[in-house]
Amino acid sequence: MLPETQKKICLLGSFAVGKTSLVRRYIESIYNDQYHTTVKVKVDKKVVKSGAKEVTLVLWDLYGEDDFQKMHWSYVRGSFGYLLVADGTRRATLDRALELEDRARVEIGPVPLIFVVNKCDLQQEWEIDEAMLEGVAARGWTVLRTSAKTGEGVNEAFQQLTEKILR
Amino acid sequence: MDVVLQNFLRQQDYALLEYLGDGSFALLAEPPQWFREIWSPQPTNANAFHLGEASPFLENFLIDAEAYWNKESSVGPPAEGWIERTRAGQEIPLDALALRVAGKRVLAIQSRAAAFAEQSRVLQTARDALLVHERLLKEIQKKEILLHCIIHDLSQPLTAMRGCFECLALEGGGTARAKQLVDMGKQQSEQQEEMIREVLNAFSADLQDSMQSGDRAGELPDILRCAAETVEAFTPVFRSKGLIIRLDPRLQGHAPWHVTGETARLKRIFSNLVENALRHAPAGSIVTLGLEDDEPYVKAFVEDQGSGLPKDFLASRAFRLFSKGKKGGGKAGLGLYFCRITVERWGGTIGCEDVVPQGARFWFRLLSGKEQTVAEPGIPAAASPVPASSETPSAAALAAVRAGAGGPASAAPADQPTAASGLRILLADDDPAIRELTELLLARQGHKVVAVANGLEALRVLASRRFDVLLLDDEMPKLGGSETAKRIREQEAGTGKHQMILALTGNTSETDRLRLQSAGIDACLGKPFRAEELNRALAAFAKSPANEPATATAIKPEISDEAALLARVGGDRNLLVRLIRTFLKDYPKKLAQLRTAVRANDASTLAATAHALKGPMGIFGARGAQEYVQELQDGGRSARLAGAAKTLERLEEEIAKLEKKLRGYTTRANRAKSGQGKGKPRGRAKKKRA
Repeated sequence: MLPETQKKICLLGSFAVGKTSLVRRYIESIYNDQYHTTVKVKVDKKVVKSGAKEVTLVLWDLYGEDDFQKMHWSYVRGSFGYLLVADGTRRATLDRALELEDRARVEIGPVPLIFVVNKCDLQQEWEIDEAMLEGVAARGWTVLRTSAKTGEGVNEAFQQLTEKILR
Repeated sequence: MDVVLQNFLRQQDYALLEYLGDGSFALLAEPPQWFREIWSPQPTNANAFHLGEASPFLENFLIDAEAYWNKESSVGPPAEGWIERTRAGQEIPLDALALRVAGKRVLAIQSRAAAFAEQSRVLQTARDALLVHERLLKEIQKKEILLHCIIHDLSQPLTAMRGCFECLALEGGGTARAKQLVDMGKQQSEQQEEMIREVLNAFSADLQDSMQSGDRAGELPDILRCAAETVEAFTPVFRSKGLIIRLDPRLQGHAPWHVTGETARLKRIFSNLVENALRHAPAGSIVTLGLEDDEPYVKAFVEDQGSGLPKDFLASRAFRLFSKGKKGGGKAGLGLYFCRITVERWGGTIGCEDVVPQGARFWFRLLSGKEQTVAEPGIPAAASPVPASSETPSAAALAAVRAGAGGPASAAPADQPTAASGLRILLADDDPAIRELTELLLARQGHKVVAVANGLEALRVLASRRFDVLLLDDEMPKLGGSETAKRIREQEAGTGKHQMILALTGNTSETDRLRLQSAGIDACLGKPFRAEELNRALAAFAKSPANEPATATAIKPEISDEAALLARVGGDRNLLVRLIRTFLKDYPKKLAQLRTAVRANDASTLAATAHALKGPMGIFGARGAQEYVQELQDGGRSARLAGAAKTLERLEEEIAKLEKKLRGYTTRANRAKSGQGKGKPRGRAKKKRA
């Protein structure tokens, strides 16, 4: 069991939506344009402050489930919250993210989540429009646009998730 | 531990630990170097340490491992892999396995760097390929839209422009300079057409290759399955909005339903329409996908329970490029446009309407699978001869007008009907400029014209007046051309009457032609058309006054040439075009050889070369040329060459005529293949379609 001050969070989403890039940007403030697919789970830690509280986020960077690799849902066990990540330039990743949320809710219950639509630096190529995001937000989720490439919205996404978890 | 086992563990890079309980482990053997670099230089308490505290991944893994060790589970947790970092920051790929060995609870952790590298390589390649595939599909969609944009939107103004210039030329008068300017305008519009044709040819060939579908050759897609899979794919997102998406319950247990088209694009059409419904459906409502039989079509629809189409809504605008509706959204206004261009390319139609008591229905029609056996015009079906019905003259006239309306390069047979005059013509076209220009052209030929704006008005007028010919635009609001023709034929059934219908359309692909033919249209003329093309088309009808079914014999010569040509190659147009090209390339050399042989009194060369020409003459049905070739062959074989020069001269004249006809055919075949169509001018306000 993690100490009280450590909170496990996961990143869920299709392959190539930018989960690893978001973690790398958040933890190390770095970004690599080249796509390196995640094959095995990586766990990172970051100490963050939320108000007067200090908490260690234990970030589980999970690989995107697809026909080539099935995810072990035991990985999300014990999560206090998660980022649900879609790629704004690929419409199908939004549908997939919603499927993952359905499954995650079964596995770990209704824990806090932030719906992240990544790659907002490629807005001109986006296939996910406002109406779709309104539909997602209508579920009561926080929807944030991020870019792991530029850093836009990344800290906010993790910060807002932390605040939701600590509430 | 036994030395062999220790060596094995070292070589296989294993760390072997025994679970002592309470999250505590003891090493069973000397651990590999990476183990020490990751977790601790030395365990501190009799080889026991808490791994879970050191590794969040292992802590999670241990939950299932403990259940297994404590015999709460008979099956061990699957081996799981993760990445740990050494204190120096090096990433080590590891796999963990829980075992029960000789009563001990064992955790085996292995580093398999080489296997991991290979797995990474394979997965990277696979996922990169998936991403490339996704990008290619997007590019193909963009190209299709661009191609359609070129066909319909860029070339639309040419119809009106060409008509204006022709009318100006017909008006006569004006200064020499004015006439010169009119000629220049005509030339420029023709050059514009040619340029668009070139671009279209380039795009079409490229697109044809990239449009190879996943469907097996000759297999038509099952639209019911496409609809069902679309429902399945959208269920999660609908649920997230508190909506329901379903397949029409009446389709439960329905057999597969095959239509013209291609599976992937059919699904995309459904997806685009469903996304459109998703934007407008209120929470708690239902969006239904359904299919209806609409012989010879299948009508598919996506119906929502929203507030319906807005009062000022124009259905025609909804399917235009970059049309987004008031709410905006949509992929730069491409979704519905893509639906329209794809459906139309397959010979279908698309539209939308309000639903009672509330909601909107977006629908599209496609030819059902059984309609694929419709025979080529003029060619009898393989199993049985073409019946003597009103369908026969339609097919015959269609081929005749296509042959006659092929453009400047097409050959005009000696018995081609001359321009007709004094016909009573009903013209239905929703474009006021086209109506006016066409009326003017027809009036100048001495025809009496009544012009209406859509198919419904045409039917109203036809109910009380007789016309020799109905000129019908294909795409019109309220009631389109093919729908109008269908209704006319339904009314005529059993009466012996037959209204001659000539379609004026920008949709002149093979599929369009079949669609119009199956709707009962006698012939079609592609837009933009020249005055002489329209006159030739009407001249073909001049021999078949209103209410007398035109017979195939009235225009037989042209039919038998083209139809017979195709029949000889089993209906394979591509093969015929290839044969024609080979002949056109080859025959000048053969003629030169014949001339040399005649001059040199070389009987054997004469016979051999003449013999080589017999085959093509037979294929192309050039009876006159065939006789002369036979004469030359016979003369060569019997060494009787008197008169050979004269026979050769006559042969050359026949071949010159044949060449002209064959070149005309290939020009028409190329046009039909590229699916060129010139639509309507911009800017006109279309009313809501039926």
